[in-house]
Amino acid sequence: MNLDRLRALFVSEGRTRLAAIVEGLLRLEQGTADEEVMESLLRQTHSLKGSAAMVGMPEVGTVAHELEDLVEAVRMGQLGSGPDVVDWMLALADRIERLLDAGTEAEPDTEADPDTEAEPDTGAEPEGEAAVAPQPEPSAPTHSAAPTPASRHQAPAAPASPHQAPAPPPPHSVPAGIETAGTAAPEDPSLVRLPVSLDRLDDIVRLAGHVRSGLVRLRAQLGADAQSADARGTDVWGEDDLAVLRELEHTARQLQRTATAARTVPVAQIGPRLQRAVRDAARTRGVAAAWVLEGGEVELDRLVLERLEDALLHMVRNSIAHGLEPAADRERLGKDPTGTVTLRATSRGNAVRLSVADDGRGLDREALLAAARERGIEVSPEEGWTALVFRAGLSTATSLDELAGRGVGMDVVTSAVRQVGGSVAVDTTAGAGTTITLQVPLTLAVTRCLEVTAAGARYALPLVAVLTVLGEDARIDVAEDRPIVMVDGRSLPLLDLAVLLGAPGTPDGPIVVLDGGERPYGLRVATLVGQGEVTVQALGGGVPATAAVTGTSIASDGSALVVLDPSLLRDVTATARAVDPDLVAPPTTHQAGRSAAGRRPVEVLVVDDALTIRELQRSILERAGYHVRTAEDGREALALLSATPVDLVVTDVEMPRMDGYALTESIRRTDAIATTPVLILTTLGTDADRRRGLEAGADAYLLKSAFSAEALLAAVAAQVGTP
Amino acid sequence: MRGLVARVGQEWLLFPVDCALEVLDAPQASPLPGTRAALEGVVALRGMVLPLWRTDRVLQLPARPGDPAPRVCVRALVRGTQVCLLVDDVHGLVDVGNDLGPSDAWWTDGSVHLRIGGRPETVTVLDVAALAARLVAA
Repeated sequence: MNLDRLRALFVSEGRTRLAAIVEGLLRLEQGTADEEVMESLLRQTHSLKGSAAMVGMPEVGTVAHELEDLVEAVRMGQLGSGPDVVDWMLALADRIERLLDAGTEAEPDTEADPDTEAEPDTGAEPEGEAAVAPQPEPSAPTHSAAPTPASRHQAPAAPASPHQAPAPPPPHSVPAGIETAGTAAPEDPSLVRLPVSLDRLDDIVRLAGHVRSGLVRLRAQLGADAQSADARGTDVWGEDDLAVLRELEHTARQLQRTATAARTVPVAQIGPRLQRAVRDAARTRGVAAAWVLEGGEVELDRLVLERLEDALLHMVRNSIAHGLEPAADRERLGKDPTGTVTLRATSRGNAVRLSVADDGRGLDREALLAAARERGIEVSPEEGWTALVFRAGLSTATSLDELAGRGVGMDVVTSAVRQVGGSVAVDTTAGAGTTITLQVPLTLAVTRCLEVTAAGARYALPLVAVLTVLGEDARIDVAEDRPIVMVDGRSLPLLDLAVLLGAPGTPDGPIVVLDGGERPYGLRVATLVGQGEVTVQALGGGVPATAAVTGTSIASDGSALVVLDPSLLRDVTATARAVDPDLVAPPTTHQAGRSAAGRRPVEVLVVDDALTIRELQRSILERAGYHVRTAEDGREALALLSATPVDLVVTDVEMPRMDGYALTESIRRTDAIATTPVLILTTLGTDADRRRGLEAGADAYLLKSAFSAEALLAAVAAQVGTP
Repeated sequence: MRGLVARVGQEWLLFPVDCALEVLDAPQASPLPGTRAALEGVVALRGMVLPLWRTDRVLQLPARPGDPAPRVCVRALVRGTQVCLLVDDVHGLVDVGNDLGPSDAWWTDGSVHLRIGGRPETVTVLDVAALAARLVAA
């Protein structure tokens, strides 16, 4: 392994260790650092020092050594652990971080052939004192205000600590470049971590995606061949063949998910930096602030988290600068004198929500509006005044300091969130605090998308941005000579994807309502294909960077699949409209002003984990006059049914948490709803599947492969009649 | 010198052989929103998603009256990046010789000449670097 590559690994490892060090130091300051934390601090600084020397970064070793001495002095009671001392130690940690950053400026030779690389005297040595190159002399602390700890190197008689008298190398030492998680023994192979480049993980995810789409195409081809063979009275592909294929598809899906999961890291990873920012900002502002991290175990794509890091830092600093009141004011208001800044991470299907909340004074509406007026910024009635906090150049700070006043920062939040295809929302209450919530996709590599067609091609819309899908019964109207669609009493702009692509519009296509970042809008498409996981490839390879395109992929039919960025699609429209005023969806006369009144209340519950299928059925059934409710899986359906029974349940089989068979059985076992008709609508079409459904208690069994509006309506009418 | 001779509008162009990778019927492109007319969209080819460019529009070459929209695609390597270039017609691979021996085409006064369909034609050697610059600009 050459030195560049080794150094790159060290920098990566060093950052991880540094994060643990900062976390430990903050606990030290809070008085919650027990012996385990102190041991960890010593171990991390010691390892950093040793590894630094091995990779030719002696300055890191010197500073780590200095830090280690301070930690040891605190541990021995020779030095206190007040804010000044922690400041001193954090300053050393910052210096190490800068040195690590500088160490990454040289491009590592990641593709070098390990067999031909010059081999420095590193890899074969076990970790520990024995493998460490001669240590540089410790430098004297430069913080004159702080007491000088007694260096253990100057006092060799001091009581031994694990890092002072290292144990002999363990039988299964971990070679350089491999780190172990936490304090686990390196003998446990399940806890050994290997640094792998994101590019390689992306390659694995991409290849797994290709395998999946290839299998899907193969199945489609086999199905077509089988139909053709049946027509000729021959039998080419049997059930066994298809079963093997299904198993392979399942394995490929698992492979893709596993590879995707390898890209994720827990949100807690970013905790120490945010906690540090809260601590430093609070010290600067002279307010008392506590830091809380909830849901740190929630996992998020490493790239997403990295891209959001600056945004989150701005958010927590803003909470201190604009949110938390001074302790005396808080006491006067009957609040705890110590304010709280909370990062809360929650997993929502294919998305993750990250909220930064403070219990401070809340946003100052009047000050924001005044600042907006002063700069000639108009408040959008749809977005509301709270959106002003994200406007570049707008600040309510009355003075300029390192935390606030320049009017930059929160616009960084919207920019970062937009970059990863997410959205942002603000919730504030005067006197009670502010919560800013980012909703971002779990991963950038594989994104759950709604696939649609327009202009004869396939496009994917990230599901995280899809609010709902409207069928032909959508209420279309015209306002200011532009089409709008009514959704929940709101009028939203309506665009036509085909027109945006330079093709004739599709006036009768379904409408996908999208979260456009600043405001939702309707996007008319030609057809809905379905939803699925899309392995997104960043634009490159000669594909020009284009507004409103997140990346590309290859669809299951082998054609190109363009993944659109809903938040930027509107910008394309705004630009294009200036050139072509017709670049909007034409309203259709039979849809304009259509009323939904006058339907007989026959209640149908549609249960399917696929948004597309749910909305398709909703569209068909509501058009026929049924009242439709929906649930994403069996468990949600049961909860809905326990609150309000319905006349009919139409359910899919394969769903997360509770499948359609289990749902049907549960309905039959529950007295209050035991007689509710259940219609299973599924892709599972073998005799065994059908038998299983009917044995579970289903009244009818329909196949999605034979699905049509007429078939669905006929099956529903057979159970509950027509409205 | 060896190259692929293709017609773009009223001009014959010689694509250097290390630039032209494959000739095929143009696949159906997926148009991209907010792009200029020179870019037809993207196509899936050999497991990759590649941009499909109208060569005539990129190079601003006039169309030949009566020609339908170009449907022949040259998969090309331009400055290390693969792209698909739409052309009107492909003559084939030719060797451009000098005075030392027989060849399909020959240099005269700085231009390449060859007979296509019995007629003498002047062929312009494609400047790949200039093409790359135009693709970026387009």
